[in-house]
Amino acid sequence: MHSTIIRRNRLAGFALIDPLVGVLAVAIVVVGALNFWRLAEYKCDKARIDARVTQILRESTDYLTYAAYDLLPADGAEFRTGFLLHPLDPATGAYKEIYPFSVIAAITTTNAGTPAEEKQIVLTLTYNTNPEPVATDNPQETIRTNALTRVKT
Amino acid sequence: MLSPGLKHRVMAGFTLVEALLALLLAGVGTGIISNTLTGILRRSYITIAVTRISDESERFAAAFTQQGKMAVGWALYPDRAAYLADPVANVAAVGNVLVFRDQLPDGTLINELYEFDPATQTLARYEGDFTQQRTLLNKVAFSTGYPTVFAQELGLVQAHWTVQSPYELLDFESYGSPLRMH
Repeated sequence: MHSTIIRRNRLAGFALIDPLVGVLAVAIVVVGALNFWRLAEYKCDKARIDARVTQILRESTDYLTYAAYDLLPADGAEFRTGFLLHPLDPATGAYKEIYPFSVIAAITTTNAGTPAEEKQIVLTLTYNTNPEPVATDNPQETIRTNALTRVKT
Repeated sequence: MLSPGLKHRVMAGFTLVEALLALLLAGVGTGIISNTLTGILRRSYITIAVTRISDESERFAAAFTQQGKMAVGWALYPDRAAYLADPVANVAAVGNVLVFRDQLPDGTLINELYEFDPATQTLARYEGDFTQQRTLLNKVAFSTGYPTVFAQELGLVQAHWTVQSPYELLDFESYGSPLRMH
């Protein structure tokens, strides 16, 4: 009698738990693949954003380095704004504008009104991105440059 | 005890429907994974392509700034025809041709020319004259708010251009000022 039961179990095919385990395994693979995809997307975006931020800071620093002294922006002025990236939207064929940024110049003037007048300029670049991959990450990033000195004469 | 019919059935292995379902499940899983990998590869390719296009313009901007800094003089022209017709009388405040004049250590003067051609949407750098091309950027357009690529303001020479790549619109700007003017 005992051997009959064992034989019957062996011949009965899958138990309920078997396909469930299979479905669970497939689900884990799918979720893992999707997360991998999201992370790859994020890393590509992040690399592009970093390159663009570097470019904007280089351009802004060049402007402040080479502009005539009288053309320098006022203290606290937001002298450049825009969007970090303009990716092509395949659906519409138009370029989108994502991740707004602004560059603010903090300027400290010393010896004002004298021949030795000079300005210490610190740039602050603020931009917004997606908070991925961790939803609690702050989507707003702020970067400050070292002080740049311009002498009037 | 199993009846002979049932015993025969459970020992017969999978039915056609079961096998098809298993194939379908495997197909869906494989499809999702291959689609993910394809997407990742495509995204990487786009990133590499955009980075390459961006680097080309960055090098162009670096050359612009460097030559602007070393120049002993510069002038702007509306276009190549105006420059070639009369480089003295046709100087303009803004334009699509910029000429930096450098002085070599032996005193020889040499021109560095930058030209944006709206017809071909190219931005090029030349050395000496328009036959010696050194750099060429393609799919270039005016940046928003700038009707020409080159301009000047109180001695600050500047360039603004936009590259229309198949994946992204890329804005660039570059500044230079001869040291003696600076």
